[in-house]
Amino acid sequence: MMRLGRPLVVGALGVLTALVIGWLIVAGLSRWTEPREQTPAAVGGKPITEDAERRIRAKLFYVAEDGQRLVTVDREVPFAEATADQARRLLEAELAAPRPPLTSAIPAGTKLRQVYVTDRGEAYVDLSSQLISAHPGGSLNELFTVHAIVNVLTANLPAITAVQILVEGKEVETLAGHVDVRRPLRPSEKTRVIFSRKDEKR
Amino acid sequence: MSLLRALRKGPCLPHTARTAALLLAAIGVVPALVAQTPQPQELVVVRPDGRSQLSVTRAKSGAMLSLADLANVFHLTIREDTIAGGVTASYKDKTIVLVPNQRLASVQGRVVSLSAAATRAGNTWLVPLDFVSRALAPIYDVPIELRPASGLVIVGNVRVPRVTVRHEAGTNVSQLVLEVTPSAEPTIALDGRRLIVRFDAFMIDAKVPAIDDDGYVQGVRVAEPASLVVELGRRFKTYRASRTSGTDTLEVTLDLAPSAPGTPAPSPPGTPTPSPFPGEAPPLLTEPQGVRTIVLDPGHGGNETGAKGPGGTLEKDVTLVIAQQLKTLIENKLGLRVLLTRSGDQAISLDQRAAFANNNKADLFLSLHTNASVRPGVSGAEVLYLSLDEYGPEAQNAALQAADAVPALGGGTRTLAMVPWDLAQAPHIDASARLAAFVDAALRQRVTMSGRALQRAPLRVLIGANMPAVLVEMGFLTNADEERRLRSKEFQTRLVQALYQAIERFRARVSVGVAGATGPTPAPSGAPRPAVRARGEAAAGRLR
Repeated sequence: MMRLGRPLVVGALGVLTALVIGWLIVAGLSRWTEPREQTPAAVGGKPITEDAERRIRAKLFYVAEDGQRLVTVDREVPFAEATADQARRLLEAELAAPRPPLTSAIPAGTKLRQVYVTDRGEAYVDLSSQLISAHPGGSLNELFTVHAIVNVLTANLPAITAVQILVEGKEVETLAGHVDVRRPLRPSEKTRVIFSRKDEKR
Repeated sequence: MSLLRALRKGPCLPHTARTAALLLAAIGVVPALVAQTPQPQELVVVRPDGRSQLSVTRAKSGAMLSLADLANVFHLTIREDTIAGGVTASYKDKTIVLVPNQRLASVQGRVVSLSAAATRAGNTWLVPLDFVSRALAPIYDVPIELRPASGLVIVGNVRVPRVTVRHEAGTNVSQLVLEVTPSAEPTIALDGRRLIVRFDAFMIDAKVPAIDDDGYVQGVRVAEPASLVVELGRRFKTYRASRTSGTDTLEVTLDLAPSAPGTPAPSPPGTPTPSPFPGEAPPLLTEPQGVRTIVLDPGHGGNETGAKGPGGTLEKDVTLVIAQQLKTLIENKLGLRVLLTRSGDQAISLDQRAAFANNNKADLFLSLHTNASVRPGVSGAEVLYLSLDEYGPEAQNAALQAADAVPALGGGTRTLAMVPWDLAQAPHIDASARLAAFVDAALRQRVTMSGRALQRAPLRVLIGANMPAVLVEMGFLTNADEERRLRSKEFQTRLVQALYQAIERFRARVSVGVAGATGPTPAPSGAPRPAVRARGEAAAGRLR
């Protein structure tokens, strides 16, 4: 038994090692290729291997140069099949620092934690604490912050009608002491964006 | 886009329109007409749900409006066509196409001439005033009337009668004749040394001449809402009012006389026997009942410092200083009860602030703040009141329900809807809008306003307030100059004066409403929440 047992153990160990290595390779590869999985796998039967990531044209919202309004800028954003995934891509683009003279309405350092979308078309956007701690205050700034987040989703995703902002996973009253964010907010007609820049490249 | 190009090419234009436009331009008829009418500094856009301003830019080609401002006020979508070099403004599914350097616009495919060409200015476009009447009005879904001489744009079914004032100075009697077209019923009330003539209209478009002070009338000015205020001189003791109606005009004659109250004033010769307003004696104003308690809310406090200026000034400190000064001024001059949500540097939740006002049965709530922008150049004051749009239909329904509680014309029953605590402000939004307009008007006379002077927003501190409530952003702390001003005694006094005046005028308006009305049916017991509304808002509502 002993004589037979040793090769068996060695063999089993070998198989296990092979499995682990195999899994590592697969997992590693899938991690590498994950963003590309968003792209359609093939066109005309041929797989796409080049950097042909599918993108959508989206409107992002920034503080205008005169500081009186938000302006929209058309940007390309990675495509995603599911609404929540697309919302995530849009928010990631919105949170990224824009090129001057554009200025973000969202405090620098704010990270996206999670996005949920309900059946009623309400999106819950969970952002990191910098949204509050790094906010410079003032009702105008705060309105711009809230509208930029609400608008980037409602303007680009018809399935989303209202957006509630969460901070570190929790409901908050306001971001800087003025704007009521305790419930999902709809985009307001009165604060609509009134000037758009076209075809700005990333 | 193709339309734009077609317009640019010219030959594709309808021939008659083009010829006409060229002719007009050539003989200079349009510019001459524009030059003759006085050009306002700004246009006031009046619509049933409030008003807004459009600033007028003076250009070589005359008075111009920013397309960006127009888009904001009229909900237009502006698209620039960089290839064709033009710009389109669309409203719902209708489109106006403008081509730079051409005094033309294509309005839903029809070419109309404008008094000046659209020009680019910075990141916006400038269009002539008559863009509003010639291009925008035809595609809008409610009527738009441009009154350039009065600086007014009237949108929708809003009553804005023209009122012309004539004054005949005299020694025994002084006469004021008010010609109102189209007719609007006046309510007249005497408030100390002022006679307030309030018209049943949204606002008035009044022409007041320079007044020759004869001891009876010192001056006449336009006041909010839709009122003329006659400042009375020392010789004035009593007055008599009479009216003559024409087809579309109402003439109100006010005879101001020195005799003691009770004795009818002598009629000046030549005028028909006046048919006075109901009741022979002048309708004297009773004790003001509208506004008794005011809650001032100095924004932020404690570790919640609010905005911070480049020089280190903290919002919480500025707001407290102003609130304290304003409290003293109102108490001294109006004798009202004024309470502050915080008297020191402590943190108070937004809910507590509104609850404090509700528990103290305040008739007016003023939250004081200073603003901040990521653009240090932004400056100016702003006035905000609550918007429910962002909350969706549920909140709006609550507001509508409350609106149903307004007493029906001709008296009768009055249903009072229960409004969720959380939306206590909903039934007061109209009154808050009027209060905001008073604050905006008073500030405007004394300090610089921002480009977004009067706004609506879903503000946390206002939504729970069961009374007319506004939030005032007194200036931008992030602007170094404005930060310096906000620290200066002189500027603080200006702010305090303006806020005081706004409160005084709002209160006077509510008071006139109470005096001029038969009195609202008292609220049934068991519905205590709209009590404030019954005193303030319902009275004001009748004055609309």
